[in-house]
Amino acid sequence: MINLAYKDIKHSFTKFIITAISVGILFGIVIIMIGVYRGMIFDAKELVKDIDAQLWIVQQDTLGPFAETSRIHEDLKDQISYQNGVKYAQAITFQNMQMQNSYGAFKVMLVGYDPLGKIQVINPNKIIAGRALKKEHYEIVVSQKTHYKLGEKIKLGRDYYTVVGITKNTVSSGGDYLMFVSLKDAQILQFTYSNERIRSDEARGIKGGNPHLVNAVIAKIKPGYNAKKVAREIENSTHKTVFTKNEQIKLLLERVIKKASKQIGMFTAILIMVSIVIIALIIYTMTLEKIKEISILKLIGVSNFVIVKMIIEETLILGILAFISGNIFAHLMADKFPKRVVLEANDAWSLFGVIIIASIFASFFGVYKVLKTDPSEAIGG
Amino acid sequence: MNDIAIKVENLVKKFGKGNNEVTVINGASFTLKKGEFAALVAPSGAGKTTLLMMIGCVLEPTSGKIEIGGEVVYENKRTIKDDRALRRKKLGFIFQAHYLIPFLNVEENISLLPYENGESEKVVKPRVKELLDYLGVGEKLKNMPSELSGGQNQRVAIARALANNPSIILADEPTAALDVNRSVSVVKLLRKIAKEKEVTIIMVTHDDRLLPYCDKVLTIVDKKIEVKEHLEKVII
Repeated sequence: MINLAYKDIKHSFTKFIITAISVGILFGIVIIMIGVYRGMIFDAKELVKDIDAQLWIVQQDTLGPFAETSRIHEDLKDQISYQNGVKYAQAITFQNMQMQNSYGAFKVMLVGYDPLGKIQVINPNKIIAGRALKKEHYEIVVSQKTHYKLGEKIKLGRDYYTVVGITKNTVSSGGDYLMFVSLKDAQILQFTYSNERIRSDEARGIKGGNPHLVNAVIAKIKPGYNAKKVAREIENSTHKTVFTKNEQIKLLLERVIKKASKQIGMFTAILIMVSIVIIALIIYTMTLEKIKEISILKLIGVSNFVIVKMIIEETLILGILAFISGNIFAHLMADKFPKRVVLEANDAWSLFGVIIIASIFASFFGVYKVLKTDPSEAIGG
Repeated sequence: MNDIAIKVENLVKKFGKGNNEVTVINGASFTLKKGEFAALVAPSGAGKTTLLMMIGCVLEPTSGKIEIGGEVVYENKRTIKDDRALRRKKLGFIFQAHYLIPFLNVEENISLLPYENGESEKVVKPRVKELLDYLGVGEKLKNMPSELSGGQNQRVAIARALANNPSIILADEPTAALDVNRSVSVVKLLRKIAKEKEVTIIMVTHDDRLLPYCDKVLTIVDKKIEVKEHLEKVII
């Protein structure tokens, strides 16, 4: 038996491949969009997952420190440490900053933590050069993507900080690069005003700011204790809001990135629909180009089944080739995006299923044309 | 009775409706026996192709009766379920242009219908080779139609029409695109096929020089068929 689809593709191979690659680029964009969506979710959870804490104690009635601003006193950490079930507690600050170096301007999240504390704020597996902070002043650990080098001095506020460690894949919930300084330095950077501001405040009767504020206290609990239960107990005794690690992650996903991820999800859905329409149009045009041959085949007695099979097979092959080239395109491009793009095999296979169903749907236009073609068109009669 | 390949009775074909109705064929009747080679002649627009397509079950007549190999295929309504299967099994078509499928090579163009009729590769392949040798293009088996001359393509088209061992070949101006010498050569070949393979052939033509090669000439006059027999034959 002769496979008409194979023969037709072979006959116009270059044209078919170029068409498949073009559609593939479109699918590649769909795959990247899904990857951007996954990346957002991944990034949102990353920092909370990296910080080795089970509880997040924040300002009362706020969803801090990421979804809302939270300011609490640093010494709350001592009170938390003595709570039943709490093993360690330490204070932490988060601050957005704009940086500029020879590679350009970029936004970072500056994380302040106690280098001598017992909770690991930097995931040690993510330190690719140097070390974590050891001193209480003038040391900084930076993300690899900031392009700062070990030993380099960075000016933040009034002081210079020496790069002692470089991390990989450390980002804030918004996908910004992370930089880590000691809690004391971070408090100076965040809560100490300039001389002019201090003078102005004094003129207004405002005396001295309080630099001993933090955005949250993080805590680890003792083995055998239930994190949720301990959290509720702390809430009752300290008049603060407490989130478990999972609650904090849920907050990030549902409050911080929900709209952005929905937006990307909708854009991806539209792109998939556009791709289906484009495949349908391509198949319809390919069918129109063969309409003379199709009417001849019908006239000499070739069954609809054979002709329809050719159209559907060509559509499926186009879809499969487009999927393969789309994946290659997506993997080549993913690393070039400024924010994380997570390409997951499950997403690719789901898209493959969608493409196959969409291709069959798209081929209906061509099949309809085949069924409607009058065999007498072959001889103009 | 078994000798009759085509029987057409009182065939009528009208196009359009109401004031726009046009009668193209009005009461055409004729009979062709197995192995007869008939020419169908008439001025342009007289309904030659329409008649051919009605016999080939491509166009549905308005009324009348058509029998193909003893089987009634139309009697005031279509009486067969699958016209395409009938064409696939009993009919062969040759057109003005070769109309070969451009993405299939010569062998594939010819073997397409036999394969669809369920014949095996073992049977089809030797037959295709034999047909091409018979038509003088045996060495072109693996060529694409675009690599052949007009005459060679027309021979391949004839081979395609013969590949399913049809009892009838309907040829719509098969020599229109060829020069005189090639036209005569093709018509001689069709006659040879008709006689040697007992295939009934109706050939639409405008070329009077080809008529002596035919057993009968069917002329459309006043929307009916006039049959002339025993023309002065050319010795082949």
